[in-house]
Amino acid sequence: MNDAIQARDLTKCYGDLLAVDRASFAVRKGEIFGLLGPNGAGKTTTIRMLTGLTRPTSGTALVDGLDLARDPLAAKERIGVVSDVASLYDELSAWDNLQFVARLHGMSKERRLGRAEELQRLFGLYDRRHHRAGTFSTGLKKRLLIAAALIHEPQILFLDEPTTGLDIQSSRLIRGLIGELTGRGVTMLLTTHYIEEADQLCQRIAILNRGQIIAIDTPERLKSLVQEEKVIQVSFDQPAGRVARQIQALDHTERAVISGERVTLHVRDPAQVLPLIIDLARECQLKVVSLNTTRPTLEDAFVALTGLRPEAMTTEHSPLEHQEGER
Amino acid sequence: MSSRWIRNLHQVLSIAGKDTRIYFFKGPNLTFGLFLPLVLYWAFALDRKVAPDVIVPGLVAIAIFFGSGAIQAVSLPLERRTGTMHTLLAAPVTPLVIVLGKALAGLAFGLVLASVYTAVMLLFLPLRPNLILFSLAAVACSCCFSAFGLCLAVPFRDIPQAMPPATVVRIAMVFLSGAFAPLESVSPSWLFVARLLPLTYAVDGLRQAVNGPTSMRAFTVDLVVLLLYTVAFLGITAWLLKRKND
Repeated sequence: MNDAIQARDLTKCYGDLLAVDRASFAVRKGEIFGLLGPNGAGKTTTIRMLTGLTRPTSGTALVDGLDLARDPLAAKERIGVVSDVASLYDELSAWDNLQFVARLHGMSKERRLGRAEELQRLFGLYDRRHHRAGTFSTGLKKRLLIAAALIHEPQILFLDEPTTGLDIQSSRLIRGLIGELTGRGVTMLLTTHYIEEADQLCQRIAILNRGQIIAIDTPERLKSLVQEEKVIQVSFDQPAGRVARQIQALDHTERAVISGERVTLHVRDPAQVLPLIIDLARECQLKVVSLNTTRPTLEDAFVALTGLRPEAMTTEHSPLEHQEGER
Repeated sequence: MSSRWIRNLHQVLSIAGKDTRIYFFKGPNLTFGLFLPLVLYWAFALDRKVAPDVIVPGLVAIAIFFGSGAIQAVSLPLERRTGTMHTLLAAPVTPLVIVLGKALAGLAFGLVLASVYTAVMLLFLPLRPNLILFSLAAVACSCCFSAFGLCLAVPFRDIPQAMPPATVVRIAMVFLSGAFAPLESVSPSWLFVARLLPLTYAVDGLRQAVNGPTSMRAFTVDLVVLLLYTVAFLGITAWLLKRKND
């Protein structure tokens, strides 16, 4: 059997609210699979059903071939869970937290001592192992939480919003660790509302919106769904807001997004639109600082598939956006 | 014993040990376990003649009643609010194991309080309890009231939410159970209600352990009723905890 995780028609209702509607997908062994969607799309509920934290209203969740409804304890022994709402005990030290979780998994003393040391070194926590978890920053707490989820050496790891709320350095470190775990053969299912993060980390992505999966594929194939659309990015020497109406009215343009001095145009044929941009700049006495054409991004695919604007994903900025901005 | 049982036992002990380390010395436990029974006693005994052999067993029962339950009123809502309950539930642990671990921590706290009060009795009061019967009664009371505390706390996500209803229920039970005065003189309807309350059996059991049992049968009935209540409270709490997460 090649599938580590299987969701079969998973449905969850909270009263009248349909949180997840017949979600079906399979994650292959060793794969990093992403659930991408805006807040409230049903990502966390899906992960909770797949980890036995909540019972599906209908449908089946299988991990490593084990049905979570029938054999939850055996299934939980095979998985590690990093939930965005879970935490460890602030009053205990990092070391004691790991030992406590290891005891819950029934690990022998020798094994849990060795494993805790190995993980604390891997996650850069060893020097602070005797410090109380309550004194840790958000990034350090997240690292400790991932270490705790890995203490019993699970081959399947669920990560719910692993980098949300983290600083750039911690986000980068956690993405690096996710990459390293893939090298060790760990299957990962992660949820994120950061489009770039899903693009960078995941081998396949399921896009969720309003509880329904609307597409599942590799990031490249998802991008190819909007391949016939091209993107022109132009930067002016001053904010483009004052000529917004003229930009929106440009011929051969599907849509335009203005952000300060930068304008992103989605077009069918760049060759037809580029002269119009130059003419418009001349007429409105704007200087073109930079001009380039790019391939559609995963964000473009997301917008085309969901009909949502990327801002709908979250009010927070992606850590990757911050990083790129700083370069 | 099968490996599953041994493993469950280790999990229960781990959770109890963790709760003991984290929650034993939280403010509400000391307030409810040590100070509140003394304040209630002082408020009741002021300007009244009360015999120590009547009042002290009641005081011990109230201390265990509030103390064993207080640790749950802190730990369960706090675990749910801070997200550590997710960490417990994501591990291969059943809700019943979590509940038993927490109840064991409450039991330990109840026994510590009972020991403190026993030492006071032996050192400063002319009371000489039967220590075997007193220990049995104290264990049964601690089990029952620890489970009762869990049952009262499980619906809540926050300590300020959990404390007021639990305190109201407990104080009503204190005055109905005959903790401060024997039930012989109360009305039949009061007696009927009192017989439904676990605290009534706790007070009676401890009183018999301090003053000598009226009969071993009556003492045994007290213990059995307390243990039946314990099982019922633990079962209800585990069921509610599971339902809350579904």
